[in-house]
Amino acid sequence: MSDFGGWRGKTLRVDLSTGKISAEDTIEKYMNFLGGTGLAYKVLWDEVPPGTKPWDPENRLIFGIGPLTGTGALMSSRVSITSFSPVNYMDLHSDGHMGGHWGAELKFAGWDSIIIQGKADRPVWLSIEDDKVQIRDAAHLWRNGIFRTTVEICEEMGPDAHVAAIGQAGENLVRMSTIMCDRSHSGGGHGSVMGAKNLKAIGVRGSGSIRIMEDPKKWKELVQHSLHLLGANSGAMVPATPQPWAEYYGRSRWNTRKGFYWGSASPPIETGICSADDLNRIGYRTHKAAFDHGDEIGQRYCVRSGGCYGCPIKCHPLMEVPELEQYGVSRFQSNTCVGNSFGMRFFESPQRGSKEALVLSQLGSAIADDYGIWAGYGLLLNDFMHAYKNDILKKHVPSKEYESVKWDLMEKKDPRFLFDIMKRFAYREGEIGAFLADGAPMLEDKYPEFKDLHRHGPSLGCFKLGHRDHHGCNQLGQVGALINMFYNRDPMCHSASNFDGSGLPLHVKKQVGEKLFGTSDAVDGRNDFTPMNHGKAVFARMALVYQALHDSLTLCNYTLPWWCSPHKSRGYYGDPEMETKLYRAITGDQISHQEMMDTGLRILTLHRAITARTMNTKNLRRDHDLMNDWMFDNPKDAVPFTRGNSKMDRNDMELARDLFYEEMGYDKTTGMPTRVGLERLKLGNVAADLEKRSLIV
Amino acid sequence: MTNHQDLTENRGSPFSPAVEGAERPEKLESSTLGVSALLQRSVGRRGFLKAAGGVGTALVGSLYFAGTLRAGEDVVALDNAKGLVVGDPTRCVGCRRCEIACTEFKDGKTQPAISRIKVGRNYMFGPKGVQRGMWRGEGRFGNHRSIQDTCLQCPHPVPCLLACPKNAIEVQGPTNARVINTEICDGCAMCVANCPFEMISIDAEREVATKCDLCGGAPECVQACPTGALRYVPWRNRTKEIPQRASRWGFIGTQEKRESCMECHQ
Repeated sequence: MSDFGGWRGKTLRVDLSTGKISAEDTIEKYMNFLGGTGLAYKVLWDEVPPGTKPWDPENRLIFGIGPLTGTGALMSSRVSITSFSPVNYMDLHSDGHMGGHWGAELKFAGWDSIIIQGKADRPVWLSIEDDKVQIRDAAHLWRNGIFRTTVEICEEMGPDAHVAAIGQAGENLVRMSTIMCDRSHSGGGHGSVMGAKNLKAIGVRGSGSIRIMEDPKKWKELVQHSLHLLGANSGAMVPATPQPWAEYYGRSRWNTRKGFYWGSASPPIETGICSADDLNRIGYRTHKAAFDHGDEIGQRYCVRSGGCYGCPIKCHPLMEVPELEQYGVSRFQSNTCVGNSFGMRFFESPQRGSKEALVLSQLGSAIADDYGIWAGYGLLLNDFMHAYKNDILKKHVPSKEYESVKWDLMEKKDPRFLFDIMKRFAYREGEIGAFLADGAPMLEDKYPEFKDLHRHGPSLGCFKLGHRDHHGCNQLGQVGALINMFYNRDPMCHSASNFDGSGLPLHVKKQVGEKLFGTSDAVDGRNDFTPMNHGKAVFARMALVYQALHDSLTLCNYTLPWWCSPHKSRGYYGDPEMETKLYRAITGDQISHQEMMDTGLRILTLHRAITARTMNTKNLRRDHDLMNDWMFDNPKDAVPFTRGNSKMDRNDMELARDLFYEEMGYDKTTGMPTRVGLERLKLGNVAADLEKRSLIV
Repeated sequence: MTNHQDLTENRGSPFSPAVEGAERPEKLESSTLGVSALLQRSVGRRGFLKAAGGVGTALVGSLYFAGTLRAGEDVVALDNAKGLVVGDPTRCVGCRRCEIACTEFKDGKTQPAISRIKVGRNYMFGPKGVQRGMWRGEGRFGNHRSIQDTCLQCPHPVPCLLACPKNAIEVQGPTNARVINTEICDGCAMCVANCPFEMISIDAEREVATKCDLCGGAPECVQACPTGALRYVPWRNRTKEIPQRASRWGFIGTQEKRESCMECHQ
């Protein structure tokens, strides 16, 4: 057992080529990187030579959890799944993030993370019951969906085991594939890495404990403090409608109110009024069903809110839709956010909030989550519908195949179309299957039409790295644009978007922003952006650092951090040191808040170093940190930095890069990590390696 | 079980009793580690009766007196508990913060396997496990219901207490919860085997059995629930309506206990 609380002290390594199963000392090797993505980047840096392709046996697939995973620190069952990515067109590494209960269970089984390497010579699954780890034959599971796989493994391991599995999509090397656990929690982009390793699933069951080093009484006070400052999903700090207890209301996901129901609970439950002080009603604050499916339909068909272990927010609406049974799937379905619109997007504009849309969306997620296919934040299906409507598909797909698709069902918005199209997707059947399976970035090579569209959008606005204009400049101006250019897939950086999504009025956000970023100038109103300034660079750095910490500790970046709070008495300021406080209390490692911020920066900088080494570039600014033309050109007649648009300016964005690189401690001209910066972050070995490759400035 | 009207106004936090009559300490300790001290202060008269004057009198007496059964004494508990944690599966969101609170605030560690409230084991497939097929059962793979298992604080005959060969299970005021005295318990797990509801676990790290003690009247699980799906209410006999999870052995641990039983059950 480790000297610290939080960690269990051992990281599991499984070599599928040799069948060797071993344990490593987590503290000794990985403590400086916490766990999660941090641990994974360390593994990728140390062990995977540049040039390794995502599906090569040499690639590592890391299921990363951290010191906070499984504990009462809120929302602590996130799993960072990290590997070189089949979705990225340059084979750069990326992380997918999976919730559920699997991560916590892994910790209870005694493991701080799992590193998978090699390739099994036949389909296998991994069984982990505390110390007992076995590679098992998966012949009977292969070619089955995720649901059946999960059930059959639970028949062996017990109903309280948790299973992360791939479906047919991962097996068939569909790039846009997921790894999923617990019925509806998936991480995107790495299903095919598991498939390439012949690894069908990982079942986990644990009986052990995680030590909390803080005195239980003080620990309880800290947990209560963290709950007290919590808002609702996606950082909401004010209710969406006027409430008797609230000073403000605004655009937010704190949408419950008097007369709001989980209408399919038996009997129905009124979610009602939930004040910021009532900690025993936090779970009703976000009526995600109403948010995702519209107020009327969402309420009527919602059984309850669901979600991850340790999370009181609950972002997964669990639905009961009797109409689904005629299609041969369960009436009980669930998903969240874009997962909930996956099925709808194969059709031309079904009206959101309609019954028709609900059935399409829930049948879509029933099929997608069994096959294990990934929505990629909806961009892919925007492209698909565009290609259909503009006869791009007709042009490129062999006519025999094109005629075999049941387009008439699509035109009639018949849900049965999903069985046709999603099977092609999951089995990568023909040209249409390949279109969907390979994802947006790869699309540009085969379909030149998209190259232009992705650059100039705007409705199809896509980064070459495969994400659309989401939480980018359209929401956060230069801050969003900088965050979006940093990662190797869509960053899903909610530490920034949650600040915007708090629903607080601008003047309050500016007051809070002044405390957080040193200046209120860092904060702009929506579609009312100002030119770049230093505060925005601080904002972007902090957003990324907190995301890296959440993904490594692990906590949920979908709803945290605690930058704001829902309390007037605090001026709506939260407690940005909360992550540090939780870490100290759980592990007993008494680091300062500044050291914690440096740890986040260390993780990000290692990410950056791997990216540079993989690309073999000395200039990330030029070669990696791309921004698309649509950011600067749309709307055509708009003037940047005037109210009503999110148009950016090219020169201003060059300044933004300068200020951001400086803030991150990178070389201003090239955006590369520097020797001094790397050494300050205790990454001297990384500096030495980059130097050897002449990749350091 | 739950009043489904008037829910928005104030369902009441667990700190302000929504239901009259459940036994509570005068002042809530912020950590239940202080509960054992509280219990020592609260110990009242010994209201259990050792088969004095027949069953009828005994039961009346047990309801009347605040009773405490001390561990180590070879007797049968006739007193009913005074409070009970009740779960509402339609409100439960499956976050398991109750399990987390139960072990973090009472044991200083996170360990759902020894939590005295059990939600995780029903979370995916419900109490019947995987056998019912995916779409027809309870849980996340079934109808989405998340069923909370709580200790029923069984009435006489209390299976765990009767089974304990060390007499380590005692009835403690003010709640009359059936509590394991860890000074005496040696972790033999006879109580685990005899609980029909599978509510007792072995804490392997401390080598003792562990079960719900109602936190002296301020259950941590109830306080931690983010949807008010758990409530602390006056005790009622639910043993006949909550499905059993295991058949019990009917084992009575010592000769003295067996004789004591026979005074009534002859």
